[in-house]
Amino acid sequence: MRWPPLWITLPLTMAIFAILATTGAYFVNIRLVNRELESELARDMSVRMNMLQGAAERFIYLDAVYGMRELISGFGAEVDTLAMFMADKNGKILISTRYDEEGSHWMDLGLSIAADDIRKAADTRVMVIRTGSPGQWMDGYAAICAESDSTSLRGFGCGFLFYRADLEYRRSMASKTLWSQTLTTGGGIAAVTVVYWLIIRLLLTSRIHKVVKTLNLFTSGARWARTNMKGDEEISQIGGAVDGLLSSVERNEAALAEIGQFQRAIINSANYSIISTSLDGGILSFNANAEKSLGVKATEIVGVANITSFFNFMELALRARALTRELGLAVAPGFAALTAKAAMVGVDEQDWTIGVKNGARIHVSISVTALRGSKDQVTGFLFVAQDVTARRKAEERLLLAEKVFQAAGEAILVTDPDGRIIDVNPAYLETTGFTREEVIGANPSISKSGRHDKDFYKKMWDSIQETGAWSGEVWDRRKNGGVYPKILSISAIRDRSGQVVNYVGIFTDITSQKTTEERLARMAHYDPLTGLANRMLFRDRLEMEMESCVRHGRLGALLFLDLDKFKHVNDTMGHDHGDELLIQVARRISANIRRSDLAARLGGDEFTVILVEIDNAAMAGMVAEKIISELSRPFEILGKEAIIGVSVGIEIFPSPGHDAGQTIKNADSAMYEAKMAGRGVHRFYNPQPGQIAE
Amino acid sequence: MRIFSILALSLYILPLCFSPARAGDILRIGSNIWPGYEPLFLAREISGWSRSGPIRLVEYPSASAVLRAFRNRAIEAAALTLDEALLLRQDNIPIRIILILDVSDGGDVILATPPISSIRQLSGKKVGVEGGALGAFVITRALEINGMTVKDIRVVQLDITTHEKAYLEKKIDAVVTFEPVRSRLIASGAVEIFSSRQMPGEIMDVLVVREDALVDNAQSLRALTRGWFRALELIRSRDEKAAAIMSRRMKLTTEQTMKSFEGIKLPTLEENKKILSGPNPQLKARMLEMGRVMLNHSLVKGEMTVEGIADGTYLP
Repeated sequence: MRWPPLWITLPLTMAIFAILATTGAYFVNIRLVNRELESELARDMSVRMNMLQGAAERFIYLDAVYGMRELISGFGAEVDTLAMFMADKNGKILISTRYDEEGSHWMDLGLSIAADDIRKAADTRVMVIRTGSPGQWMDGYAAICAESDSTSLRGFGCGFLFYRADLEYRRSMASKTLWSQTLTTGGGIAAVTVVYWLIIRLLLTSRIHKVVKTLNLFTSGARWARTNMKGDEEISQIGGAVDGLLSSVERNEAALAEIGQFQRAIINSANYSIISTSLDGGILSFNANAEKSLGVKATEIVGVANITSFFNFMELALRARALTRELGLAVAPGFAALTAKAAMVGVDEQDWTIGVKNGARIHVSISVTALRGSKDQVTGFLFVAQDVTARRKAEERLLLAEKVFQAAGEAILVTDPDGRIIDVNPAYLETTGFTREEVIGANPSISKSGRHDKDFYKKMWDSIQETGAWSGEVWDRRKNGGVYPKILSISAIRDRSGQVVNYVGIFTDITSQKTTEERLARMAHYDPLTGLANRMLFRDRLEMEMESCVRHGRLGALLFLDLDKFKHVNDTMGHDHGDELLIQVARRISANIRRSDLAARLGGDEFTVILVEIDNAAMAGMVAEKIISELSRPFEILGKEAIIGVSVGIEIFPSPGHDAGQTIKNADSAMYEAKMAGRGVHRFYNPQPGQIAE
Repeated sequence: MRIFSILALSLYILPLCFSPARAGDILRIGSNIWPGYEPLFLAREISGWSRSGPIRLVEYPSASAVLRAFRNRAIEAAALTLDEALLLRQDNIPIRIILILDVSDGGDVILATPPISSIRQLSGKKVGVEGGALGAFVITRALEINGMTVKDIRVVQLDITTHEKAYLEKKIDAVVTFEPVRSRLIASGAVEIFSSRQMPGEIMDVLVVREDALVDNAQSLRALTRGWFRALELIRSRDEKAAAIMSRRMKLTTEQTMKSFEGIKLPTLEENKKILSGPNPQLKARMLEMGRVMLNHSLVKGEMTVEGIADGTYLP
């Protein structure tokens, strides 16, 4: 039941009690008063009737009955007189308050007069007074008898006086008085109630209302609301206590708000998608990362969508089946598939593929936590999802790299920044012949061939430090001691800060390649017939030697040889013999020069010789003479004898302003001079025309 | 707040529902027997005013008794003749006349024993007169009309209750009396030597109310006048039942009763209004005139004020 407010209840109950008390008192009193009134009226009636009885008998005695008329008329003016008459012994009314009743018999009046009482009053000479049946009036009967003899009675033996007095009138008067008394009392109580009400209102309820109002204000958000009550009495104490409570709530709230702000900041800046749902999967919150990852605005989805809408049904079905097996209870392929385990054990981590707005799919790792209420019942779920698409790809790349590493034909080794090997691939082991155990932790120098000097390695490391990479040919040693060439690429792997974390070396055994290369180089640089250097190698070597001589301040010489009479041999004895002759000529030239010198066949019967590090021009001349004499000796060619000669032009280098071309041209020019001079001689190049140096 | 006021209000209203009639409400009207007053009793019967109701008709044996009761404040109202009302004013009793009951037109008479047949013959004779009431006025005027004074006769003070007895016992030679005693005495052989017809309009019966009883009994007074005029209707239509009621009181036959009304005029409501209402009611002039007459004959001690006595506001 709802009780009305205190300020109504208290005065109301007081007023109700007062009304009950006063009306109760009225009804108790009216009974007492009525009883008292009845006996009082009876007393009054007996006095009046006694007086009338006496007067009547006296008037009768004096033969002046009409005197009674005055008396009875006088009683007619009495407000409580309802009826009064005097009747004779026959019951005929002689005098009445109403003249129309006079002369009638009392029985005709219809006043319900009791004949017994008349008789009784007449017989006993004692008046009878009794209450009328409805309690409305009282009837009195008094006998009136003449004391003297019959003559003076004038036919008036023993008559009677009837008097009906109004009891109800007295009662109503008493009741009226009592009521006014009751009303006065009630009015007094009402006044007291009003005062009481005012006191309660002013001192109690208004102050309680103030407290209630303050609390309501506070509840509706006005954090400044306080009762500001001061004092020692009870209500002020309540007010003070409420103020204290409100202040503490406000402080706690501020602290909570700060924590909440932190939490929101964390949640919104987290690299995780954080989503909370209701028990059936309805999305309740959606953080910034989730918006970014899933391409949906929180406002579009919170309170609208179900989290299962992001998931693939097939995946959910698979997971549901797995969970059904794992947990031993039926898991539906819906929201339950996401949360059944979390609801049971608290947390569930699982990878999922999620469809995002633009139709793409992302891989996420989702951790589902059951949120519990105060009674430990599950109230919702928290989904923390991490986009692992990039990680997945990185892993795939790593896997690929690993496969490449394992399957690569090239040998690969990886070292730490200090150069210790931390990993090698099977191709490495195959190429070097080492076992994995032998190389891990070792320095790559275990396979050093010793063919490269310190300078080589220094350059290599310098390049790596500067450019981050180096590549080149390196001779290394296998475990079995065999030296082999390889093409090695070294890359420094740096982290974000630029610090070298690894070096990766990739190399290929190029032994076979090297052999081919050498053959090809020979083909390119040597005359295939005579095995002497060809024009290209000659040209390169000449330039190199010229440069070298300039640098070292040394002298060199170019000898230009042209065979005499070779055309004759070739024409008369055939090409086979010609070629054989050229081979023997090459042998004889090579045999008469130093190893560091170079002999070359430029084509046909043209040969050149580069002499290096000669002391002077004469020394070149001596070498030329020696070649001339040696080639002038007969040649045994396929069983036939052939005699040829040779003319030699010599150009000493370096000579200022002369490049290789000029030098060749000069030597050629000198050779022509020698031919002019009659063959089988040598001539130095003379820069002045006509003057050939001897 | 509203609940509270309703509660407080009901605290006061509730007892009023059980409140009985106030004692001050009882209107007692005194009268003696006179046909002009009978419509009051007829009204009591036809309106059913009960014995314990607010309107009580107190029946006195004589006009003197009525006057006494009125003076003694035993009753609130009285049916009186206009000269009797003026007697009250002489004693400065505050009264109002709210209703003109009747105008005597033969009802008031001087009866004599034969062979006396005129006023003049009364010289030296014993004449019964109710000196405290109308009788004095009637005999004075009758003698005046005939050029005589009270000194020419022997006045015997008798009230109406003893007129019949004194006449029949020959204790007087003539009597100043009125209906219904008139009818009875004429039936016994008395001779009418003077009647109010010879002083038309001078004897007027009025309902006098104590001024201080007006407010408390306003409702009853209006009920009374209403009943009065309804009774007049019945009398005018010569209703038999009404005649029976009245004859029982007057101790006359119904025939005699109806005949007794020939000696009076009963003014209608309109006539009442004419006499009582307005800023300058007719009654005022009549009272001044009568006052002068009474003063001339030393029936009153001095002049009296009649201002504001006529009050037509209680007429229906």
